[in-house]
Amino acid sequence: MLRVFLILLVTLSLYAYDISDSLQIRAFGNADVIVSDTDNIASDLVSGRSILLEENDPNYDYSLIGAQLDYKINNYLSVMAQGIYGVQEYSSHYETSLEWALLGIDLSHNYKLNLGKMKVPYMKYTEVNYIGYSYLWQRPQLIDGVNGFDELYGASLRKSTYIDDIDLTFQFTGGQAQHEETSDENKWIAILSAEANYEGSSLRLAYGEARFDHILPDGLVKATNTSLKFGSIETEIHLDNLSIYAGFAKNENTEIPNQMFYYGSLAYSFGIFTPYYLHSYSEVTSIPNRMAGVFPPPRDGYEKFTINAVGMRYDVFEGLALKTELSLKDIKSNLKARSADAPESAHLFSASINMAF
Amino acid sequence: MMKLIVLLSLISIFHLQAFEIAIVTNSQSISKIDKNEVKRLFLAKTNRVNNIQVDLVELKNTSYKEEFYKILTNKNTAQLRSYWTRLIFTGKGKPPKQVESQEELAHYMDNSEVIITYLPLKSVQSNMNVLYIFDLLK
Repeated sequence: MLRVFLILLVTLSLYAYDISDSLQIRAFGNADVIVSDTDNIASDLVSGRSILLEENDPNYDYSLIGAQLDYKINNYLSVMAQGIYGVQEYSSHYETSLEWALLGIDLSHNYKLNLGKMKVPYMKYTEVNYIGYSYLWQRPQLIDGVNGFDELYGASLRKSTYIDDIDLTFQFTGGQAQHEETSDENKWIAILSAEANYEGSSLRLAYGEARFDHILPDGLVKATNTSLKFGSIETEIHLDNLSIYAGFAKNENTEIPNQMFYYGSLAYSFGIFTPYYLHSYSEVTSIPNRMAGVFPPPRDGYEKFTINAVGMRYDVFEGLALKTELSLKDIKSNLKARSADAPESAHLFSASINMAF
Repeated sequence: MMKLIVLLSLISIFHLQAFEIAIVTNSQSISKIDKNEVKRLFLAKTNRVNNIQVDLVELKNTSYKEEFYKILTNKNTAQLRSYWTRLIFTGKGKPPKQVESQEELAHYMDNSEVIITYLPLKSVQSNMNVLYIFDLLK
């Protein structure tokens, strides 16, 4: 709890600061609490780690703070570095990590090239999972990028153009991928995304492929150059104060579990108050289902999660929003490893202060 | 009484029509842009006009900023802030530089290569080149 207060104080004190015309420091932070009415309910952090919530025991592990340094070298070159301090992968401790490190090259005719460490642009908010202020809901839609492939060292080339009143943005991103859970090697990822915007509404598409060598925990190379194909489609429609959001994402491969996800959301803006309803469904299939005496285990395991949530975003002032959300999470699973008393549903209450300056 | 109401209505209508926002530059190399180009500039979709690189500046805390962006982008304030957050923290773009006063804005325009900003039409100075005019229904 003390750490959450410190995060609040530090983020507010790091109010966007222009050291000079070419050097800026920016900050963001989430002071967050989540409570469950059920024991042993898993909640996935944006770092990819799952936390087990206990009944009526508040958890603050979603809280984090981040800072970004932007430096404009000249009219064509700039650098950006962004780090966070939060609960990290495979750890229950707060640690710092570098999330972005980019050299930006402004090319002519509205092309921009970024080189360095970046996030995988799978869905609209995947690259800003950590930054609660950037999206309407309490939680980002997808936590762990493309089936765990959430970062890469490489390049992205972005082109902006238009047809009449429709703005179009195309982006190709590719490089050596980072996977948050496995030690798989030779990981590469390429993704093409396109977004069309008209009168504030948007349609976004993404399609890509990741390749990796699948290494088992004992070091055995199970498969080389495995292909994981993925795609997503999303829309945001704004009609005066009413907003409609919908999206679908899917990825498939032959080695690690497959994922499918969709969501739909309605929101109505009363100025600074925006109540919303969110329905989302995600399933993980082809999970090795361990049974005594059976090797290799059949890959017929699945876990399916349905979330229905109502929430409210309150934009207090520029850069600071309060959010609350009450959600019902339903779980269906056929995993043999799942304990008999594992919960099949839970109510979750979350509240947060999200900041970005 | 009826005359008074009509008079007040006319004054009100005149007032509504009178609030105009001008998109201006300090450069003579750009003479005109259309609304779509203005939108693309102020949403960081581009930083060029006629392939000339431009910098955007805006006055902080003006009464017309929200309405200007609403008409230009069809995004309300919260949606616009979310939009900028997504761009800034992914290295894809920056919002216009904010300045505190008309004097600071004038200083910027005098000392920079190509600046584009927006102002009430009545505040446009003689050294500024008007590129486009918006009607805001204030």
